[in-house]
Amino acid sequence: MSESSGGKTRIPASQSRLGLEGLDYPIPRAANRWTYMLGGLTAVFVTLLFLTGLYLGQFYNPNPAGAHDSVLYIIARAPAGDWIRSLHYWSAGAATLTVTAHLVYVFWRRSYRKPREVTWWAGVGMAGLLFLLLVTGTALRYDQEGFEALAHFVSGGEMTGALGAFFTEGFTRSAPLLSRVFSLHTSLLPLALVALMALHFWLIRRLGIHADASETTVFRVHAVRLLGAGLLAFALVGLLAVAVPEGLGYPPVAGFEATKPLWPVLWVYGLENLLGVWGMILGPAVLFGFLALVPFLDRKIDDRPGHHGWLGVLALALGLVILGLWLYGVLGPEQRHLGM
Amino acid sequence: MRSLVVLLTALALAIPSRPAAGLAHEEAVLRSSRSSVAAGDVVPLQGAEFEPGGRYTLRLVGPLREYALEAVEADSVGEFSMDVTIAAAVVPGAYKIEAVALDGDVAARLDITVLPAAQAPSGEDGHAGVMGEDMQLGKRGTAAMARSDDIQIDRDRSAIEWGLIGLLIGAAAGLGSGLLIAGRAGSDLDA
Repeated sequence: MSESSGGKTRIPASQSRLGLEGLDYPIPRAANRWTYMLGGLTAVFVTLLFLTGLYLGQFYNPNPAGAHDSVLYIIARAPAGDWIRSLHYWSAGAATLTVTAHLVYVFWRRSYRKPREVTWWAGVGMAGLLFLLLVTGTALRYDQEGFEALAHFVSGGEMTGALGAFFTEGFTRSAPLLSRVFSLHTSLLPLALVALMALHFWLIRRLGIHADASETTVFRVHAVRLLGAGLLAFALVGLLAVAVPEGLGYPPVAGFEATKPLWPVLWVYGLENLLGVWGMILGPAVLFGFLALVPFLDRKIDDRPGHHGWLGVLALALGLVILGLWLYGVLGPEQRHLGM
Repeated sequence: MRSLVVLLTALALAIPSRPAAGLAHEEAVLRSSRSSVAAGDVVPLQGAEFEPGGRYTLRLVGPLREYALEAVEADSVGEFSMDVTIAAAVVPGAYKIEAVALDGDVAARLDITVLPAAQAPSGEDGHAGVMGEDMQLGKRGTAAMARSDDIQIDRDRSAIEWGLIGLLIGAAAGLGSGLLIAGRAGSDLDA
């Protein structure tokens, strides 16, 4: 990476000014495999979500009286607004896929074991925050689907007492729920996500990745490959945003449930079909509770990937149940859960 | 060379700081005792700090729609007071009332929420209508009005927009491929 001259290593001036030589620390060569880039790709999509979200926030009106019109304005009149909104939508879907694949691969590798428990919990926390960002983002559309998401927040808030008070209409008289959900989506949740990302990256830097370290390369090579993959991923979601622009439903009508949620939430919808509105609280609580407990539950001394014992069977069963619920949500009829 | 840099910097700063059309004369004030009004109802409006004797037209401007209101003339101290009727046909939503001078510049703006006729606020202030349950929970209607399909939206874009989007996607794809190839070559380097 640097030039040798007369026995001394010479770093190009442009690199020394930017401190790029600090990126030349050793990492396992395996880090350059696609399976180890899923977390980095998720970070790329999160960055895209931040940038496109900043743009959309310039035109969005979080007041119920103007929200739907402002989304229509973004689609029809804001410069490149339709594409940027669709890019936001597709980036959210892509982040859901990559973070799920990342979690599954890290689970299979059993990389949550000592000393990487906190790295795992930070990752699970980020996955939870992405899920919350997804559902709060859906509500901001303020079409029928968004309105029904808001109504679910209210219902969940009322069912969970003090824990869910934020999502009830009685929380304050001074601001509508939609405005508070907008604030949650654009400030509190992203701030928490950035904090957990910082913790996750710092722990990876300190503890290293869980991979065969007999062959090494330098981090800069990994960063270049990740940047390349990230740009290709951006091009892909950019093309999707052109080819399949995200739509918008009709202005909401209160008291009726006529839509299904966004595809990553359909497994929760399937569970609601079976258990009623409690399903939307129980489903995510069981999934993320299980993921949080994983480092405590895997006590086997054998460290080999895939050798989880009963925990692996349990995880597989949970995964199959979620897949089944998702298919039920996709293929099953639209149902009413709130009794509106 | 230094003066060229200074000149270019000044130009770069001057372009975004140039007042946009319609904002140049926005120095007067529009006030109302109400922040929301039902379609078909009347908004009491007061103007101040307008050009004395100046004539203005009022319009109701939303993100997607615009309605002409009434004309008004400021008095000798630049003030006026009037009741403006919001037509019953106005689509409910978030709007601004704009006072437009004869040269087309917007002299003042006022945010106003237009509610459906059935959701008129009970109090004089009107805030209850904006923050109340009805506006938070969407309009009332029948089951047949609740639709799960999407609106048909005119998504026409200018050639410049398509060009920029294409350029961005193409550049990302090209640079991304190049970096992946460079990274593959670099991966032969051991630490």
